[in-house]
Amino acid sequence: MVSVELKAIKKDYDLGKTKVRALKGINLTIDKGEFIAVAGPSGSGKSTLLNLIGCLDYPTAGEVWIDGVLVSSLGESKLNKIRLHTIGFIFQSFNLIPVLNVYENIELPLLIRKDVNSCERKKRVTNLIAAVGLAGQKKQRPAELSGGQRQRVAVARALVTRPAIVLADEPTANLDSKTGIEIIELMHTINKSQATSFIFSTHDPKIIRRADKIHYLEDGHLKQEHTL
Amino acid sequence: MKLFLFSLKNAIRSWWRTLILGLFIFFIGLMVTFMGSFSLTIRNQMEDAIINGLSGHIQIRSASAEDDDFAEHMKSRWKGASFLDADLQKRIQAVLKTHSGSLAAGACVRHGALFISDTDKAPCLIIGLDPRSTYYQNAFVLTQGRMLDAEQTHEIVITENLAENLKVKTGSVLGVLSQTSDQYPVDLAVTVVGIVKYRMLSLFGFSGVYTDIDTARELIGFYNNEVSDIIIYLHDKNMTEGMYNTLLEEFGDAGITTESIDLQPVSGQKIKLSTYKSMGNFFISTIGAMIAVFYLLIILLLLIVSILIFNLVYMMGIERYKEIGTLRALGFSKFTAMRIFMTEIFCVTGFFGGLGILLGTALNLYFSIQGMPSPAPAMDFIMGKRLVFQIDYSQIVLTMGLLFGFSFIASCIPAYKACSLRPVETLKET
Repeated sequence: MVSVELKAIKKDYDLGKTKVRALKGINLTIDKGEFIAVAGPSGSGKSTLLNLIGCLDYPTAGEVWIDGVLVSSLGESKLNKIRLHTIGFIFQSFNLIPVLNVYENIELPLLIRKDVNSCERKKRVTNLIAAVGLAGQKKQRPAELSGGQRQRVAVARALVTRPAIVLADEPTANLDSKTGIEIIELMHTINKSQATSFIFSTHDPKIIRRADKIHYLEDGHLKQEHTL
Repeated sequence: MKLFLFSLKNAIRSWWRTLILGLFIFFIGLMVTFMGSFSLTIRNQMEDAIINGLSGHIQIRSASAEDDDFAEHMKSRWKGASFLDADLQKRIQAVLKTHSGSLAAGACVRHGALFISDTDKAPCLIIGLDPRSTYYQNAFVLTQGRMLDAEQTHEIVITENLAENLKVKTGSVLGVLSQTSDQYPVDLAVTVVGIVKYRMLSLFGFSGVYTDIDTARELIGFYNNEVSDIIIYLHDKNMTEGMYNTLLEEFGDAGITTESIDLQPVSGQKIKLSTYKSMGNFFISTIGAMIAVFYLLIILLLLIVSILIFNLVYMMGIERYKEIGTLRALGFSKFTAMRIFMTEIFCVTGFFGGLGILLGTALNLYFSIQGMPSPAPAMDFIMGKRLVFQIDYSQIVLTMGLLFGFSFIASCIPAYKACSLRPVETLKET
């Protein structure tokens, strides 16, 4: 079953007098439950691609379909809802809220979900804290955690809304290779147990190898698809 | 609740910024609360001074009386000798008697006269009234001698200013040169029995001379019990407008023509009703203008704080691009993100503004018991030696509303600007 579908996606950035085309006609289909790496050198358009799938930006041309909904033509409030219900984000620099502790950071997206009551919220957060191995650190603030622990919190936060897709933009770039692999393994385990699609970007070959499928981006073009 | 705590934690995290902003808001809360009671007290005191010393709550005069504002008397021009005759007084008193439970009425004779001492002379307004009336005594502080004696005539109580001008003290005898209503000169000797200091009115250099009603009648030639006016005192100042309207109606029903309802005159005389607000309009307005200057300063302070809040929220927006982008990526709408920002400002406003109001109210309470000593002799004319504060608790709500209103206006635009950026733009900043 198709989870994400990109049709002839183009994305231009207007840099004053010059226009930069970051994506030059991308066609991509991602099925539910896939664990996919988007690889490519810096500036190849990986982040742009993830931003479009994550409904954070609009394509210049083409269509983005998420769970059967054409999101590239939706207004801001509907995109907010799609991001809240369907998509989870993991960022390169973790993007945790510094004043909130581990529990509160993970709980944050659920605070604006009217369909999740406080009991359910507590249950989900507690389970996820245990799943990412941070049961002993739930009262700690991000500044008191290691890089790997912070990214675990980010993984838990991305999953707490039970999204269909989790997007991770270079999730291991700020981690040492051992911790990076641990994070990818954690994501892979969750992917298998919850059938959530994971799409992550990276240029680290050790990390790329952990993906089920790899899409290589180069110069705004999707060069090849590689299934492991 | 949790989002509120989130905002609160953000406010605590940036404690230095919160403190700077908070101190300004605290100061405004304190100033507005304090000034609210201070100005309320001053204004009430001025109204009380006019009521007690000059007009009562309502004054009934002949419609031919030209002076509509007591400030006119400061020019020492007493325009004509209009009067209410004995018959009209009786008819007026008959109407007033039906309200005897809620008002007290007294007759009064006013006339301009020239007071002459051994060395100097000064024109003044002479006010003749029943010496037993306690209202006029409340209008000033006795600094020398005594108040008028109900059993004596040809005694006067004068203000400190006048005593200084004429270089007299208690026991001095002054000559009074006057003119009767039919323009015959009157020359009389009166004894100064008391020297007083007006509450509030001395600010304007107002110098009334108080005497018994018979002496005043003698000076103006009211030989048939005429009076210049009848003064009505009410138990409660807030009843003035209601009683004024009731009396207008009832005088009309009793066949007494008032200026306001222009019926055909029955006795050949029309009467004019005025409240202390119109008679003391100049005094009240001047005090109002002084209070307005104080408030203008507070508004200026509020504007400065608004600019400060605007800049702080703008800086917060820039510093927290990453946070805003994260929230938006997680599905927060721009209004929810904005709410988090503004709640932070409201927390600071509520806490520090509340503290300012609390301290202001505590000060007001203290001064309402102990009285606030006048900080400088120059302030004595407004405050007396000690100003006993009056407190209006509804001002606390108003002040809080004012602070929140300004905080909302000042933080709304920068918060909206920061949260309206597309999430991808704010995430780029990371």
